[in-house]
Amino acid sequence: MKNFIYFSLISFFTIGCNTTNPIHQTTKEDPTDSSLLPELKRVFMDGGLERDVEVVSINQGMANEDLLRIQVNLKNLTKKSMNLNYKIEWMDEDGLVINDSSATWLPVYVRGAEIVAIKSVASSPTVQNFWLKLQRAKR
Amino acid sequence: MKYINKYLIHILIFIFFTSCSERRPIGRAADARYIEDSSEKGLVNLDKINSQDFTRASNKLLQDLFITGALAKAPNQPAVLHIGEIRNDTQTYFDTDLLIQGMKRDLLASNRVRISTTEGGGGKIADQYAKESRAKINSKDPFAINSPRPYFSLSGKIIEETSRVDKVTQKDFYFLLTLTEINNGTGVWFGRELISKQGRRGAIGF
Repeated sequence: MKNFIYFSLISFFTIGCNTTNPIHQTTKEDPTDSSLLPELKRVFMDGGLERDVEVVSINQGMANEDLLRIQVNLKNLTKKSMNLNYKIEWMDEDGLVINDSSATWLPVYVRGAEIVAIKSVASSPTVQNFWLKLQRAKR
Repeated sequence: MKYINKYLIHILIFIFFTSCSERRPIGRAADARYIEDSSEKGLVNLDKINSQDFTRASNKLLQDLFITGALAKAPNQPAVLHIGEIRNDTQTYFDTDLLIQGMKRDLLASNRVRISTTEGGGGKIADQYAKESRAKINSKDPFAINSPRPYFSLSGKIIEETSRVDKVTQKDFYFLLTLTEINNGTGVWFGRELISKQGRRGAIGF
């Protein structure tokens, strides 16, 4: 009886309400940095994806002459395949988020140790910076 | 020992009744809530195109259009764009503005096009309006120059394909768009976005 109660308690604390799914975020350190490989600023929570996934680099350029275009190179640090969701939010020179169709969660499948490229183009010439948000998929 | 067991049982009962209680405030079925636009917590259904699919398709198609630079090649910027017929060839009814409206907003934000809302086309041909406009230009119809003449026309269709193996269903939704340069009647961009969903039944979130 005693063992059962202890086991139940531990189970409640470890698996009960397991709904936390922290988001890993990456942006340019300097929003005005227009170099091909800008310096990055990474924000993540403990227990999140930082052990399994690495944003190796981000390449940037222009599309349609004046629209910011980025390619995020993402590496799976584990041997197992994983399903991730990502979202890119574009920001103008004042740091305000632009309301466009990029602001939606999209799925990406990454095989073990694979590097995948996530590409996106801003829809407005006023865009200077972005937030890449990464999250482990539900399944 | 008996006292400890009694104490632990009380803790267990307390946790059982208080944990996650905010999700079901009244009864078991009362769990309706608002979710974000195109949230990862939205329903994933196999039988139809849902809001995430429309947003994802319009986003990917637009990005492909921007990357090709087709809009930047118009001699006068911003060029006038006509939205032609977008045909729904899937098994379910929906308004194709669910796809196009978001695209129009982002196209305008790009400052590369203005979108004609006073002219319209239709018919069975992929882009009837582009065809009629070209006919007017060729016949030197004076009415052809009365309104701003679109330089581009956007048309397309959405196709659904279903495959089944055992109890697993795969739905493929093809979003096919074509940008036509009206002056010469040729396509300058052919966009294709495929959204595939696979599973036995729908799910909540992805």
